[in-house]
Amino acid sequence: MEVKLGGKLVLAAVLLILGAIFPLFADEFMVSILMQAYLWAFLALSWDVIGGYGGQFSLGHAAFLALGAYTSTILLQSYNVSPWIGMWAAGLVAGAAGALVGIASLRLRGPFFALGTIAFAELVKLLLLYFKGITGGPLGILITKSGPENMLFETQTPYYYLMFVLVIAGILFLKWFESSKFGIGLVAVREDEEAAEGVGINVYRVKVIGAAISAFLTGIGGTIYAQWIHFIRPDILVKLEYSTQIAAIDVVGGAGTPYGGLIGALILVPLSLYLNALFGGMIAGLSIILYGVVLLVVVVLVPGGIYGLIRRKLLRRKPQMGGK
Amino acid sequence: MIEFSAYTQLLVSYAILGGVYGLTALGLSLIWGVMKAVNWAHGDFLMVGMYTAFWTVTLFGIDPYIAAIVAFILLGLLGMVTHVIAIEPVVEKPGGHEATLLTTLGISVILESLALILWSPSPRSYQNVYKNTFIEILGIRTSVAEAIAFVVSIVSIVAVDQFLKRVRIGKAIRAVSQNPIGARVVGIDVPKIRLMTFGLGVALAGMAGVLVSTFYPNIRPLAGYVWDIASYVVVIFAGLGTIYGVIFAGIIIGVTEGLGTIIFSNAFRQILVYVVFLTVLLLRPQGLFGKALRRV
Amino acid sequence: MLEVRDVVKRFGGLVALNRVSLTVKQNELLGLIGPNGSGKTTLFNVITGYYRPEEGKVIYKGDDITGLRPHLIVKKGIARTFQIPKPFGRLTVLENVMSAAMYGRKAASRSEAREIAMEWLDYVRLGEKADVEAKALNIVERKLMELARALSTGPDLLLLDELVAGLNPSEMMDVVKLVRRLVDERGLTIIMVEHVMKAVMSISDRVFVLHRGSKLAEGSPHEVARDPKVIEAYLGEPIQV
Repeated sequence: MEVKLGGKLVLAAVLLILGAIFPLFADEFMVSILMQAYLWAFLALSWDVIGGYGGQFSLGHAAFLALGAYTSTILLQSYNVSPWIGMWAAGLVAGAAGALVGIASLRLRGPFFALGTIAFAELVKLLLLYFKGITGGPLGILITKSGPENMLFETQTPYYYLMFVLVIAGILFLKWFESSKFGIGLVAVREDEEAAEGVGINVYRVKVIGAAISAFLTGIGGTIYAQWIHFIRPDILVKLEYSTQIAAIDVVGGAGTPYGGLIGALILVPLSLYLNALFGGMIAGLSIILYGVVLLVVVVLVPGGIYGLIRRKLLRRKPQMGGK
Repeated sequence: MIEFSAYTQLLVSYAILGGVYGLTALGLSLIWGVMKAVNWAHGDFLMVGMYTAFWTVTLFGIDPYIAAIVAFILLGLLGMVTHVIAIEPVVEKPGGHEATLLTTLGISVILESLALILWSPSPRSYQNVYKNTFIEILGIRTSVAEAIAFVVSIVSIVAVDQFLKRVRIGKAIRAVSQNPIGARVVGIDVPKIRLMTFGLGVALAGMAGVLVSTFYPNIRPLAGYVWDIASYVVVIFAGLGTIYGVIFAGIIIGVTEGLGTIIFSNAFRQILVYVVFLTVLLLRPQGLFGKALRRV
Repeated sequence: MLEVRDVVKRFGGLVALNRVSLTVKQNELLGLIGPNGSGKTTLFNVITGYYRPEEGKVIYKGDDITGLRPHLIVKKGIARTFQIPKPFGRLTVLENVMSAAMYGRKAASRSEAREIAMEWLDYVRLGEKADVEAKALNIVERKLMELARALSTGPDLLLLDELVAGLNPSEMMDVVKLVRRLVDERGLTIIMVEHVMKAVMSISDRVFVLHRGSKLAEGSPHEVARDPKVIEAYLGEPIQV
């Protein structure tokens, strides 16, 4: 047991150091690719709270991303509030929207919930377009400020570290979350609602708060995303493709685990960006097709995702580990 | 008075469009009702149907309504292939419904990307006389293409209902939908029925795609999306597995869109649809006609 | 301690419970028996808040708890097990039981919950399965885990729904003794629904017989077993011994 824990710590330390020194020997393009993988990993980890641990398959997370991005960007551009502060407001706005979706999840199961979230995201997109006095409508908002105090950097490397820290924070959060009282309660509700009520869990509350936490984190991700691309517009943020990718990354990596999002993102994001860079101009769609193929293959052949596969392989090698 | 009749005209046009939503939703409803699985690639099959029309009409110069038959057959085959790859391997496993959600999502992404790769993102359209010929019935002006699509929609819905009631395979489909275990006990080959249902559902989507393309000249890889959402909305609205429900729900959604156009504007007409949709979803998840009408 | 007063529960046209009244005294073990479909589980569902009765009241320690949501009833001190066990499959056995300690009446902290959970797991002799995923348990273990989980909510009144069904005779007697000890040593009050007559008759202080949604008989195990109405009700249905 101790050896195993030690091994884990060594592995974690090696990965952390590799991640930290990566920009020192990689070029800007490589740094940018890995950075985007971290960002998507964080979004997938955020989705995991409700999608994986909560078992509620959301296909509307792009809406929370957009709400977060808009909140902090409007605060920055119109009220001069630094995104370092604005990101928390972003989380709160997205979290409040998430609570609404959570309330919906009390009545909607499975595909109905997924449909409800799609409709919710569409509605958010239309409202962002409609209230153009605040949101700039279809023209969106361009971030014109600068400087690290406004979370704006000249090169990719600071963004790399920002997202590196973000994804580590996300993983540590999920590690803590899954063994916390609330995390156990959320999984209990996912596994059996009636039994969960029977041990004193307020199912309504757990579902609503779970959705709010997931949306809160996604909203923070939205701020970071906006700060990186410097420009937001409803139709480039609220895309079903984005919602799908967030969910697909987590499912491919392993939903309901702290590492699934990162593993999924490290596989899918670099591959798709690389394909895009190779053929992007000539053949649109090639990078996205990957998501479809990998998702299909993993769901049919590797239920539980890549992390589930790794864990099963490790357990099979030491069969007595599970028993006592 | 002029205002009033303009509004009437507008609402009736949207009601006709809504009737076509009924057709686009039919295949989805059938698959959902029988497999208890949502086909998330439904809109993309519609899109493939649209391209089928585009290519057959431009390459071979045949009539788009003959293309509808071609699309029905072609998409039926494509649907069965999809079923074998993406549905049958997971549908009976624990958590199978979630898995079909994911696999059809994968199929959706693949179809869209393939369409982008093969046919580029730029919208296409083809020439046809039906789109540009107008008829007037009871003072309501509509294009022949839309009128035909509306009629085909109703005919298809009646035909599917009769098929489920009278034809042996149709009856077996109903049996599987109501009680898969019982159906197996009485000797129905359930996997085969699932295959047929998925094939039929996708074939109907393909045919609907062709009909839509006769009056909606905007054929592009993501074109399915609009119709996809409309179809989901209609199916939920109608309630799962109701056949006649989809036509009523379609018309209601169409009229809602028309009202949205009047209240907001053309670009924002969907706001009203989504608000109504979410309200119905939350208040009556079994749909408006879920109990009133016979289930599949 | 618990008083069920004139409870009526209908499902459509079917009357599942027809003016059922029942009282349970502190520290009593009440056996609830009756043929299949007589309304035993429905009565449990009414008491624990899963069903709201059309008529009648459920009074617990002087409070009207009729129709209170199930998680609030747990907080009042009533816990239950389910006829078909409902484990949280992908949580470990320990986490299953800990969830009850954390969310139950005591609202224990994580470390307290772990202690409470381990104590009850050891009590039902499932301690060494603590770190196994619950879905890996067999049916007997699932039932025992559910018992430990219900106990960890910190109840005064425990409702056991066919706890020993499906167990072999020696397992059955073990579990039955364990249940009796909960009443004698831990001061709990228990209502147990059982199909297995021998189990109920051997440990109950009092037996309540439901038949087609109404009370048929009530009394000591000895009295009830000789009651001609009870014998008649069970005719045509094999009495499991």
